[in-house]
Amino acid sequence: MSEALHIAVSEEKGNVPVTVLHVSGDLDSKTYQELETKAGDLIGGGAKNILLDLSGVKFMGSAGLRAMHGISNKLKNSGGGKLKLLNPTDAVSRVMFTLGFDKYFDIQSDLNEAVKSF
Amino acid sequence: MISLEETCHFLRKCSFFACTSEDTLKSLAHVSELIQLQAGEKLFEKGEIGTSMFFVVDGCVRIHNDDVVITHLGKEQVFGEVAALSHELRTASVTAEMDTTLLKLEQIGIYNTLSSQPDAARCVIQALCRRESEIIGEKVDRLIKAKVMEKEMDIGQKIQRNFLPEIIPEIDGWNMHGVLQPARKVAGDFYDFFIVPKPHCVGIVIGDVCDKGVGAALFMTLFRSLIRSISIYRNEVGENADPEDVTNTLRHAIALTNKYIASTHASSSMFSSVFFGLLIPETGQLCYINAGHEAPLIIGESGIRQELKPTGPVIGLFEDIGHDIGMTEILPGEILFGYTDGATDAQNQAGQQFSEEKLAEIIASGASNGGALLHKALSAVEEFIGSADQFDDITMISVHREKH
Repeated sequence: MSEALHIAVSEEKGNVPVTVLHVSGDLDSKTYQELETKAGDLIGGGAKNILLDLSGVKFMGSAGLRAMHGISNKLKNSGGGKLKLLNPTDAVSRVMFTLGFDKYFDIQSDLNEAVKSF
Repeated sequence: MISLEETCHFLRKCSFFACTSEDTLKSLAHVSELIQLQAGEKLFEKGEIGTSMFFVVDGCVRIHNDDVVITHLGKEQVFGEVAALSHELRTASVTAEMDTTLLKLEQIGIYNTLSSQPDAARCVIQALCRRESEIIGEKVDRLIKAKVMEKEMDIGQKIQRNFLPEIIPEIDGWNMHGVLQPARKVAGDFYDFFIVPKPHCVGIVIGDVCDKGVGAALFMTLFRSLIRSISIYRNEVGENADPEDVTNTLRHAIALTNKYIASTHASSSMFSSVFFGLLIPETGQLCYINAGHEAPLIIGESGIRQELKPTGPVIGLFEDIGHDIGMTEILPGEILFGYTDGATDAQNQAGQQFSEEKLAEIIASGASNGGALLHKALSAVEEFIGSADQFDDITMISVHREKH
């Protein structure tokens, strides 16, 4: 039985405003669209720098990558922006590695440093 | 608040009480109760014991089973009558779509009315029968639509089968086999074997499009056809299998397929893992790109000799990615075995996974030829799944270089 996805949003101020999505639960084919929709709403509201805090993700299927791509694509279509990842759990890192995308995302390990890096 | 007259007027509009006398309606109106729901508020849950029926005075409710919405009901529509008139449990959940006002009638009030008013009872029975006949009609309609859809899916399945190689190239000293067992009618997995005329070599493909069902199947045809057509119709190179031409063909096919899908179908976020190898049959040399796919294995006399691990990421999402080229050789007597994760992730009734280790163990023990190895591996996975549902497509290929 998969666990529901929870997304909490916080706004951080570094060199530029950064919107942090704290994701927890299972990120799979049933839930990835929730994340994409939530991020899409925030991008629609003007968010340009998105940090996905993945420290609470217990399971990620390959659909998790679809959500990350969907968010990147929405940023691109809204005039540009950046997506970075924060603290992926082993479950997330494994999938990113298997699909060969561990090197294609900026993966950060500290919230403050991550916010400053935008 | 609504007045007694308004309540009677409202009840009169409902077919359940169309023949009820004014006095009886008044007594029903007396025992009815107005309920206010806020948007998103749940009235009751499927499976609960229910003793009341409801009329929508204003607003709208959603009748649903978890996330599946059965219907929406608005002003003057009735629900909950089955549980209210019997001792059945609620057959669905009800949640307010917006701020909604309902009129609630308790079972006891309804029964009191029915027992003293034979005409009213007849009216309720007629209304229930009408409702029943509508439900049966809807069921028949749904059944007919489902049959039509099934027929369409059968056609889709037949067409998709044509996207797998009907005739596998016959190459002296080699035998090649593939098997694809879809979890549903159509599959997101694919495999392919084809002759590339310039430079002369054999294309070997196995891939897995993310997700399942029709969406994955549509993209499977796209990935498979782009790789095949770009490789076959690349005319600017010579016929001889110059290793550099071979690696360029590989790079070209994967890069263009990735670029086309990533740029043209970006909004779908669909991707595929692919192993694409070009084999020079005369030498056994195999150049390959493994785009995020489970590593195919080369099996020799003493077991697994080599794993052809990923040389880059899955394709179809991001335009600016690159892949390294892998080079190896299939020696006389060796078999190249490729598979999709539907084989290793297959689950038995107890929810255990078949696992990479178990598949490797079976493959390592070898077989007399490539076809026999596929059969052995597939039988082991099927036996493991037993009576459990196969939830993902299972695909396997083998390329066997015969001993001289």
